[in-house]
Amino acid sequence: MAQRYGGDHSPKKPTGPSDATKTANKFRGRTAHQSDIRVKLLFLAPVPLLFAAIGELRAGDAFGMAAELTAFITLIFAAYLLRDGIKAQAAFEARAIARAPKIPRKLFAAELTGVGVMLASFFGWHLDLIPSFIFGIIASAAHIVSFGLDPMRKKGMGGVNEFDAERVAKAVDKAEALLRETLTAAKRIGNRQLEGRVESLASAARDMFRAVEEDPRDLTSSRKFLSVYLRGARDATIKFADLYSKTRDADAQRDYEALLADLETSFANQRETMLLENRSDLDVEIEVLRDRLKQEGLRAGD
Amino acid sequence: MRTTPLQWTAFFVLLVIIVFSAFGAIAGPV
Repeated sequence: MAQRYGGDHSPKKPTGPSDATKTANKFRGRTAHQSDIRVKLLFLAPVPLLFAAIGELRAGDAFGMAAELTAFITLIFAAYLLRDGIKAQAAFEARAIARAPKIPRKLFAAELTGVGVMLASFFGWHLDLIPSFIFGIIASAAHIVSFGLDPMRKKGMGGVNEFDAERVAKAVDKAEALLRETLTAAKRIGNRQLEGRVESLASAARDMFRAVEEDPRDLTSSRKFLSVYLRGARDATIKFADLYSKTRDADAQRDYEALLADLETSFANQRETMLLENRSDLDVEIEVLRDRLKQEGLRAGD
Repeated sequence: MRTTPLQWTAFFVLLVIIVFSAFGAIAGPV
């Protein structure tokens, strides 16, 4: 939605959140969506098969047409899978602790591309079976070399109990889903400033997710934040959006804003507490190692 | 992540195979 232009020194100062409540950049902690020209080209490359299918129609070869259309659909589907696979990999890489995607999409995309090429060269181009097969294999191999395979292993589970890490990954997935629903609901409010407040709440929450991922021991103390509070925020946002889009109720807006501010502060505080604990862990670690060095007479300046 | 030259080469091989087999299907038997 459009936002009226105006800064601190404009004649009509916008009545946005004051500096005290303003939080950091809402894009913090969010990665840019990667756009890969290669994937787009893969959507385009099979298009001649459509024309070939029309040619078969003209020649009266129903079977050939069906085969060519199947090859076309297979290749397009492979490109879709590849795109989703790349997205899933980006999500995987953005996190400190992550489970491997359930479906190895890039691998399936490579196989389907091979099958599509095989179908197109055998039924469309009328090559022999063996050359078609070899083309298919080469296409699959080139696909794997070019785009790689999916992350197959869990990440960031070293050093911590695997069971704990799994629990963290699950809890963060759920919390992330709640957050997305909240953001979707906030779009319906139709007030750019409130929407911005919800976004900054979201980035505070995401900061906390990352902190929990880095140290799964914090999960117990943050569970309330990840589920109860976020669910409450989502429900409140949905109800407020329903009400506010109809009535523009100023009281409700004030209450809602107060709620958002409270939530954001408590998320930030929780994160800070967790980081402080990490800090004391670090201090202990450093202390122990330095003592050891000192004992062995290796410490500089001694 | 940046695309390496090897990945680009493999990609062009893939693209050429797909495009040729698709155009081959238009042209019909060799």
